Amino acid sequence: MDARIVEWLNAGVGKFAPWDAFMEAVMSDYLAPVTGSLVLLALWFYGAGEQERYRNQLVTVMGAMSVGFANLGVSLVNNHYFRLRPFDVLDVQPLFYQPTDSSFPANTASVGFAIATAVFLRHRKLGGALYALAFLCSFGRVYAAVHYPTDIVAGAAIGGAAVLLSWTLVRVLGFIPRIVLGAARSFHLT
Amino acid sequence: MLNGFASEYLLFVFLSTLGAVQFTAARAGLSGLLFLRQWPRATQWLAASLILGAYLWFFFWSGPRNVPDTGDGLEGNTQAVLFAIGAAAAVAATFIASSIVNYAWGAAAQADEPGQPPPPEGLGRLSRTTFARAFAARVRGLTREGR
Repeated sequence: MDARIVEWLNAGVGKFAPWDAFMEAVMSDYLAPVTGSLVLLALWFYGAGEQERYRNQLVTVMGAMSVGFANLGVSLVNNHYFRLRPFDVLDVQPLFYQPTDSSFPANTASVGFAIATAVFLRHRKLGGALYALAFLCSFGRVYAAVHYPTDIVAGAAIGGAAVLLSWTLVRVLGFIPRIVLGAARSFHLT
Repeated sequence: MLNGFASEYLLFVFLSTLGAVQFTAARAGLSGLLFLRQWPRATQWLAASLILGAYLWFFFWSGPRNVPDTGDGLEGNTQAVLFAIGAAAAVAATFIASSIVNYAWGAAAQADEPGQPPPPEGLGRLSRTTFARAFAARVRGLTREGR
């Protein structure tokens, strides 16, 4: 089933050059992570008052922690399980360079969905836009036969779990960000 | 030494962060961080154009971007470190440049006038003065407390 979806989507490669160019841009290693990180950084400065800004800054902290946990989760799985990429085993047309690391789970999906989820908890529209970007990036990677759909689902699940872990830590150890952000506030950095 | 790809990525992060900070500061009313303080609306348009321009330049005009990290491409950790450097440089540049551009306004706005509410704390203070002046005032306050 996984392989069939990849083959079915990949059959569209080369049929409409502008679409392929768009897919190449959205599935790049840089678009989703940089956009997500820029949103997290912008939230640091955003807010009508001190309270709102503080809550946004907690989203930035939680988002950054989530990216770290998501990368850790992917590395842990990679240490115990290796899956060949679709382009290694299927007769498909390449649209992307051929990574040599494990296909499962998708690291870009884990990071993209982690940032989107962290932002979505507080800003529905902005988080929704980041979800759309993470989805497009993930779709592009299946279209280009770089990942199987299950790699994406696993990556997104790891991203979601990373946010849950960060959210729990921020709630349980909330005094740490309060102290750090409070100290930075006295120097007008938060 | 950074290769061409890494320097272009660093420049992309720097420019888009500069735009993102200007856009957000204009929306949040942090006038002390703006390069064009009198025109917050125009700042939002210019900042959005700067972000869009940086994206178009990096992804479509400055060379192929889907490059493996065994070649010129950036490995995940390097990418994260370069993002941190580029973003920190852009925030620092914003703090410094906006403090210089708004030097005179910062001095006038910082003076506490009778009848006015007390100046807000944290980043909120930058709606009334520049970062350099707010930071210097804080350091002076700490020095006084220390005596």
